Amino acid sequence: MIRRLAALACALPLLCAQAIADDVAPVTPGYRPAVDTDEAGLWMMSDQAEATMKSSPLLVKDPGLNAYVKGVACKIASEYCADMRIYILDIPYFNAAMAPNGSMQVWTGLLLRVHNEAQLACILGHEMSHYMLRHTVAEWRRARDTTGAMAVVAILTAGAGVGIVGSLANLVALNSLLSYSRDEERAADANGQDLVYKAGYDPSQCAALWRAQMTEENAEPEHADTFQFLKSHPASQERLDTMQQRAAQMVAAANGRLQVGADILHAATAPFRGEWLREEIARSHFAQSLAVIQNLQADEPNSGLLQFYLGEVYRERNAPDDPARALTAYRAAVADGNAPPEVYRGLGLTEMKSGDKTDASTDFRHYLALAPAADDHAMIQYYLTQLGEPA
Amino acid sequence: MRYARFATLAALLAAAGCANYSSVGANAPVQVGDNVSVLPQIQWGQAPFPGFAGTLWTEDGAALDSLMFFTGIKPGEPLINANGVSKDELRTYQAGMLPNDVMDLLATNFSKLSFQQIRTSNLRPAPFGSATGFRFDLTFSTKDGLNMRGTALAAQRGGKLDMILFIAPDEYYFGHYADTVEKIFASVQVPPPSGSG
Repeated sequence: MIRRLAALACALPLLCAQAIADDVAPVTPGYRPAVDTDEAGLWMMSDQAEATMKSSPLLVKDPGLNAYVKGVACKIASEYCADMRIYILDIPYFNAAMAPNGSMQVWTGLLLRVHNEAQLACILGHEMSHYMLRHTVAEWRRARDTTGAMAVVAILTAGAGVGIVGSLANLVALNSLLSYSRDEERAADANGQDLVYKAGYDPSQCAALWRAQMTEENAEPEHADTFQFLKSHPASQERLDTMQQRAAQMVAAANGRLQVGADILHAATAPFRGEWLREEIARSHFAQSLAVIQNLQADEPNSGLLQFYLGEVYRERNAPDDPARALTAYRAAVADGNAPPEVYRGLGLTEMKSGDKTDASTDFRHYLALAPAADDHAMIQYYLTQLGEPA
Repeated sequence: MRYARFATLAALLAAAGCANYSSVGANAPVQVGDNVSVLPQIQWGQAPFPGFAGTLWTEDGAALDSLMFFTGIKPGEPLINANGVSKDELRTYQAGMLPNDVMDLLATNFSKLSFQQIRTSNLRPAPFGSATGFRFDLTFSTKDGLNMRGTALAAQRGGKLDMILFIAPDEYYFGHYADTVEKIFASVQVPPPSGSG
């Protein structure tokens, strides 16, 4: 019975992915636990959770994007590559998780937020390290021994009611109940940074990414519970300082041979960024969305796409000064020259509500000219008649 | 646990499945709130919704087909007001919203209710009885991975918002009731705007 309960608990990939490695050795490439162990139960349930992920409607199936993320993972995983499967899930939150059986979920909210390939490698390397160091197994055993199997099962049952981002996400949300220990986090930081460095990436990007996430969280502390990853991986100044110091030594030793890879990441994610930004704004955590976009703009100051979505945040939030901010952002997007046609719709809507009929008409007409097949064509035509144009 | 406040509309729909229904006849106009009436076309069950601001009709159970009426929504009120969902989590209707804003309002309200991959489309003008209204469509998935479809008819009258929303699983149920829903949308009757006729 106890073994069955243990197996049930480990239906949760990330719950299982947080363990204490006091008494377990790191995995070796090709590792599988012996069938008569409790760890085999963990793997069995992880396999079942992985099967659920494979059939999830949230699964992003685009072959190019999957090949890209898998390629980065394999570059840092090296001889462990064959043991890992990557699943990209269309969930607009920052999260990644690796189950004890080698399956890893990466959420699109994370892919939106990383600035370059080195930062993506940092997160993947950190999660792989929890897997490689078998934190999962030890954490599960400790939770079972200290909390009792029934209590863990009760936690899992309660988790079924968590509705913020779906059942797969619910599993991950349970991280908050059993966070990694500081020692485990330090170990994953160090091992992850080593993997990133050995693969030729700039390890200083790891601390930069964590810092950006803390900035985003602090932008809306009342909604910090949306930061599943930071809840299960609480960052501290001490950890950031340590990462930064180690990175400085590595960068010095590398003598300029390290890669950041911003252009490569942007090329791989370009077809999806607009949709990911739209999903980000739809969360209605506008202060966080502003932090996300402004973080990205630090590296991409001339991105019309980012300027457009900055305008969308202001237009949708509609706080007292937001219409003016939206117009500024939309106009900057137009000036950047690489904004989508919807920037003119955003301008027209904002101008129409501000009573600026002439500019609204001009911008709506511009939108219709650039997007003649837009599915809101009839609505925009209606707006034009409201603005005094002939039907 | 702290996530309890994210109790979902889906959970409410499931709860409605256990509730006592009253019958709504097919052939007589029914007032659904704020002087909006519709002709039901078929016999529906009306499900009580604890804490839910609107009226809900269903044929096969609320998780399988839900025709929801949100009427007389005043500025400062969310479109969806479900038990367990903190009001500060929900964007509210505001005076002067354009149809685009109302469509976004529904999408963001839904995003707070555990629905995912919410996509809105086909925003277009449409009559809401004798008033000028608008239509739009949406797709989303539930937290259990069920692909859903929806279609909405809305209007802003006298500074308040009315919306009729039908949602159902994309597989079978949405298509099965699509014609009926279109007829109900076409049957909407509201009083003429003050000052006219």
